[in-house]
Amino acid sequence: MSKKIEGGCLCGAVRYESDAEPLFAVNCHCRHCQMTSGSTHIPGIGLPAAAFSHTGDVTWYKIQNDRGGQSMRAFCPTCGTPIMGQIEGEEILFLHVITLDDPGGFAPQMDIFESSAQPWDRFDDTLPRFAKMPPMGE
Amino acid sequence: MSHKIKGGCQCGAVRYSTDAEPMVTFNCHCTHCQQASGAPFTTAVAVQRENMTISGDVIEHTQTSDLGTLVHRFSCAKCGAYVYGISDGFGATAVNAVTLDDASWVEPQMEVYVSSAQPWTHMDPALPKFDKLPPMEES
Repeated sequence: MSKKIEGGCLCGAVRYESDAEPLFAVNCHCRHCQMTSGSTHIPGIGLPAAAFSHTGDVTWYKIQNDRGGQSMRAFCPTCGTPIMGQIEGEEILFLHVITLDDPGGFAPQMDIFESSAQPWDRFDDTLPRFAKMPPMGE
Repeated sequence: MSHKIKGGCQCGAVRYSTDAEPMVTFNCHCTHCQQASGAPFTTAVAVQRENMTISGDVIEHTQTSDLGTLVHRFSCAKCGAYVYGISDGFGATAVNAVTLDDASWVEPQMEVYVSSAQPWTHMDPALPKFDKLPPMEES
């Protein structure tokens, strides 16, 4: 996805933009993504928080995650659209690509948190899957 | 076998319950469901509207469907979880299946509004698919 990242919520109260290239593109099947969206998974891209800006108020909800930290989720308080997630203390946003003005170019690299996936969810068999997070350097 | 339809959001502020049997379980790919959820589709379990007991503070967003009737979507005001919707046209309440306390019995019967689906959405090839809705009567 090489074009400017722009999008917002259902009612238009929140708009965002970024010139950054996505750091990653994944389908997340974790329980928090399921419960936030009311769906089986959230397709998202990673962006540096410093390269992302938005107008309009968002509400952040915090919940303990399984790694001992706080997962935060932002949604529009007017229409409820869930827009992005972030791990507290980390500088990467997980932007929900459906909220992009044009999400058609999304190309996920992997599925994560397969261990939490609902049995009726369907996966692209060509993509790597991870029970939780992929191995990464700390 | 009867399925208790009981559940709520992740923070517990919004709860719903009904003894009614589900009318239909479906994956909806309409643009409104996509945008309201932040996900490519929602898996919803529909019951007759008057049978559902719901509590908790919600954010309500109402839109006109392409059938000209109103659809009301409800998210938890505290945690933002998209929990359920109400269709005036069908006289039905549809809860998002992942919010059920017990979703082990859920099996979507069809995919609707696939004409609006994202090009990268992965669907079950065995399910019947409808560009919009299957032929049915509105209440």
